[in-house]
Amino acid sequence: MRTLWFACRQSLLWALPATALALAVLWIGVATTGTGTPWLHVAAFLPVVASSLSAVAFWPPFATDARGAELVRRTTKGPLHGMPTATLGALLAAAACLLLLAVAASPLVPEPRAHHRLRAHERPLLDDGRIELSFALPEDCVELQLRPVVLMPRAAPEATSLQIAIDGKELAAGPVMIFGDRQLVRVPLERGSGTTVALRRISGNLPLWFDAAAVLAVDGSGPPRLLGCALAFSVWLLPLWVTLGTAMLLSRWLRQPMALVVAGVALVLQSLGQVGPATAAVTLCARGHWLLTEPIFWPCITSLGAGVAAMIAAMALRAEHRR
Amino acid sequence: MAAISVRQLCVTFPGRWRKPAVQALLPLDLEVQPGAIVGVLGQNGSGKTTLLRVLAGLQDWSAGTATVLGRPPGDGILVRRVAWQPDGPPPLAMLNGREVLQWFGSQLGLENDLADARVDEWLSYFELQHASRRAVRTYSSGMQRRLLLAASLLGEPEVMLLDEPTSGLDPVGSELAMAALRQCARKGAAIVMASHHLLEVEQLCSDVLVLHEGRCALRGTLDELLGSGDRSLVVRGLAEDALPAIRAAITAHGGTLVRSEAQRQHLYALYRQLAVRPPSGTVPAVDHRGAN
Repeated sequence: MRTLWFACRQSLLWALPATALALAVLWIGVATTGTGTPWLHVAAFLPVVASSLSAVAFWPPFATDARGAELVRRTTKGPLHGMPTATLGALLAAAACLLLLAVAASPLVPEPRAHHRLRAHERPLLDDGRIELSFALPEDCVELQLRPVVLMPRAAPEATSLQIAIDGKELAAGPVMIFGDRQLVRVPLERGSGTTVALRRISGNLPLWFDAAAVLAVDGSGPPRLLGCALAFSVWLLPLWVTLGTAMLLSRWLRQPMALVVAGVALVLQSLGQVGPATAAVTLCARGHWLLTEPIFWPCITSLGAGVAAMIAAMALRAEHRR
Repeated sequence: MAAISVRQLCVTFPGRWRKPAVQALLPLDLEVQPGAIVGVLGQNGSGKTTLLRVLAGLQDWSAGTATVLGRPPGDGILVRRVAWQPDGPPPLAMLNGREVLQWFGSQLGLENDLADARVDEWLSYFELQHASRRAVRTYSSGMQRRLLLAASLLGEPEVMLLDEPTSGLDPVGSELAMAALRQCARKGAAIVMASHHLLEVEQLCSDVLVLHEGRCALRGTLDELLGSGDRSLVVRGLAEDALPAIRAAITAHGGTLVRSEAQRQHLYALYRQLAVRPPSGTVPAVDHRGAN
């Protein structure tokens, strides 16, 4: 328990100033640019990178040449010499800081709502051969979001106009125009207005492909913003987990400066490089999506598995080395 | 049963790429009984640290056998019974001194209350109380060495493997360290210490092993090696006019007065008088209750 406490406290010592910096960046960024999404990413990144680097710097077995590494390796039980405990300490510290950030950032994001992906009853293509597509509409939806893929027309392109009908009744707002690929069109609906939505092409020649994420129905109510924000930020613990798992795996070969560089690069890859679910989670949160209804579960499981696999590989390597 | 038994031990560091293999230890025999303090002497690179690392279970050997407390040195159960103090800084230097010792106590399986009590005793003994709330990275090398010694002594080990235990210590610290090690040996601990401080080895150790290029160049008890049949006499505070009579008496008993000199204070005594905190000299007497 003392290892966990010391590791957690040490990570907090690094992560709390980083969180303060993150809050400042968030506040100044939103105030000066008027947009929140990029600043939310930066804010989540800072405490995670601080916790990660502090764990590597604090716990000697993460590097071959750290002060007293050999003494700690001899004294600690288990093949990974306390590195999982130090990782857990860093995760707890990062979780505390991310929760703080979530509290601060929750007023900046829209209320999270479930976004249901609607699937067409037919082949999801509106072109000369098919002018109408219909979808089953969930109850309690208050908005329809269209974001179709635009294909090449046979003649000179002409924006496609769509008339939307709920249970056969056309919307009073009139048709919507689609002229760009993945152009987002938001259509407000009355709550509980029907069970079927139909899209009818009434003019234009751009063929529209409605793939899995092209037609979304947005629920009218959802959980509180804080919960949505906290969930999105908590996904940022996965890059930390993967990073420290990688550091464990490489700890037999790396000196401390290189171990810190590797940890930093792993985190940058998972944030700027968008490897893993962390950036997508914050982006979805900033767009008002409720994460539990989004297909982000499998990327999260993949990240979790990558960290576990790295840890198991590290254990196997250590055991082999001991033999 | 010997606490440490080493027979025909050889350690070879394999060569890499164009670097040839290095034979760090050539066939070496060593037995250390409980209560003995063995000083391992030798030039830099003679194999002292390698021998200690083998006994601590950190270094594989290429031939021979080595057992510590009847078990292979790498046996996990020995971690609590065998203390190893490397020649380097303590770990977890971002923590303060008390926390570092508390961490060692927890790893040794001591209950928190007992560990905390022992930590206080050893901090006090090694005169580190005033710095116990400071980060260890701010300690001087001597203070770090005291802290490492305290960590080694925390679990009342049965075997102590110490690499340069008094290196960097001031005379008071050195005296404290030696007193603590003597007490451990009196309680039955077997101690092997590598050192370059010949005077301390002479004062502290019962046996000496001298290594040269990985081989045992000399081994034996101090009495065997330095001779103990003759008695030397050191007398202080004589009046000048008493010298002829003393010389005559010594000669009459077959001895020789080698040198007489004007009395002056020893530098160490002067240092002790000036020391802000003279050593208490009381080694903590902790019991084994609560130790797993």
